[in-house]
Amino acid sequence: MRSLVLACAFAVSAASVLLELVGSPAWTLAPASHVGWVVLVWSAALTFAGFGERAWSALSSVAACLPVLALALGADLRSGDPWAEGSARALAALAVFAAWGVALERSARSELGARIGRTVWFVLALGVPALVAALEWGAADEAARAPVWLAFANEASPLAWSRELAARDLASGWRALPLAPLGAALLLFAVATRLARKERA
Amino acid sequence: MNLALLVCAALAAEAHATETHATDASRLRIAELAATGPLASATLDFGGAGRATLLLDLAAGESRTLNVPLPTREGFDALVPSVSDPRLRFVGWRPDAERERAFAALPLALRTRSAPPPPARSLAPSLAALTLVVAGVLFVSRVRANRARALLVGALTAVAVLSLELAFDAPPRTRIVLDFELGADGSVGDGVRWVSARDRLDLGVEPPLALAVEPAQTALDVRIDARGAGPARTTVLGTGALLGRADAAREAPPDRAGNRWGDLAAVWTRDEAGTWTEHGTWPFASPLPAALAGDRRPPGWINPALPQGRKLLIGLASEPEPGAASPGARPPGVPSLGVPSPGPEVWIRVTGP
Repeated sequence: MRSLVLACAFAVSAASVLLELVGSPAWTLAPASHVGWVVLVWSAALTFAGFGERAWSALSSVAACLPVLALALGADLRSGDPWAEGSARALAALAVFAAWGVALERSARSELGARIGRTVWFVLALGVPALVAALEWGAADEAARAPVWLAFANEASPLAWSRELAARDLASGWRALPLAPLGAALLLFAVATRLARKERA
Repeated sequence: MNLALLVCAALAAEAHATETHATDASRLRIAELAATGPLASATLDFGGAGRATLLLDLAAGESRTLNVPLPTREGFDALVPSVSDPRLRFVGWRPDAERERAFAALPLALRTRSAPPPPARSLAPSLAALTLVVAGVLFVSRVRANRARALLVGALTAVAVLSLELAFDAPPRTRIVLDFELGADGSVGDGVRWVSARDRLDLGVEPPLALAVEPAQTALDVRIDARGAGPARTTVLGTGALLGRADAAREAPPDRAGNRWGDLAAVWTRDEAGTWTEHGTWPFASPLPAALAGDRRPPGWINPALPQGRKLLIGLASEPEPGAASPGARPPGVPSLGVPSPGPEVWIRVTGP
């Protein structure tokens, strides 16, 4: 991740916690999840990560994200989140960010992989949630829902999952686990690894 | 004729209000559950109303029937939860006429007031934690070429930040308001005892007469600990929400002629014309102290939309040290309020005559 992108991600994500210093109900993120907001910002920053150039590696970016994620977890716990649930969600959020960072970094190792990685990121992470939002929020009928296949694809978007985490819209129990975003990242990683090996050979 | 119509309309409105508050206002209703062992825990999902987690310690062959408070919304009788374990059965909502009657018997003017806001709880991080975050990220930046070292520094910083945040975090505070309405002749009936907190409220073993939740659409997370032979303990969580339990307050409020309630750290009175007077501290068993010079008023949250043209008395009981079980230096023989620790603020509000 480029240093400037990382600095912006750090500043914007930390702002959600820093705004609490104002102490005004108009300037608080609660009842939204600070952890969800932090991982949403850091995941969105992957759009401009620029892996493969002279930049931070995915794992170093995760390392830089950890302190501000801990700060956000502290705010969530103070706002009433049970310790076990709050920690589990923070770990899940970190796993999503790390998995997509590593997968995109790996895809940058080959020319075709980089193209696939950028396309998958644009379509799955950004495009699908935008389309779902357009169909559901922009529809004249409040009960309008996106088609099932699109909603299914949306589940794999790390940004859509992070947004749901931030808004506390996630279902309870195991359904809150980011299985789809992690699975999609794993698939991209596997394809990118194969392409990188092929190109080296 | 017009007066008769007005009286009828008022009575009808009161009857409607009684029905509304007894059935719909509370976000908790008693329900019957039947559990068969072996069973350690199960959850009940009430959709948008929230969910409940039940902790049990039933061995194989054991069974238990529980009457516990569960989250509801308007139209609760049609709400049937999905249960995570077939060994736990939702029998149904239990009509609780006694509890509804007790709530309906409270003065309408008191039970239709909104729950008092709990003391504000800051989510702001400590300066030490912020400094540590910045230092940690700068250090990660220095060692970022070595991924393992960067991850180690990031993880250690995160653990230190979280430890600092939790170590210096004050526990959520509870605010208790005892609200009384005096009759025209100065007589006093039952008052309403509000206990309010933000995010989390321990209900103990006794369900409240009503539980107010603000915002109303908050999905509640009800935790019920039914392990052991004793009655089940209930805790309600609603992240970011104001949670207020209402019960009957049966103690005598302080009387201007003589304070038989207990020590009060600060007292204000308002006359019919709306003029506030500060009286300072009011010791137990003494008449209301004379007015103090100055115009310090009680906090705004304690007197919102209170009826004009009537007298008011507002008192703040001595704030106990954190961990104390009851407020103030209560003389022997004066009944304790059974205040949950740690140290809630206790306020008294008397309206009329």
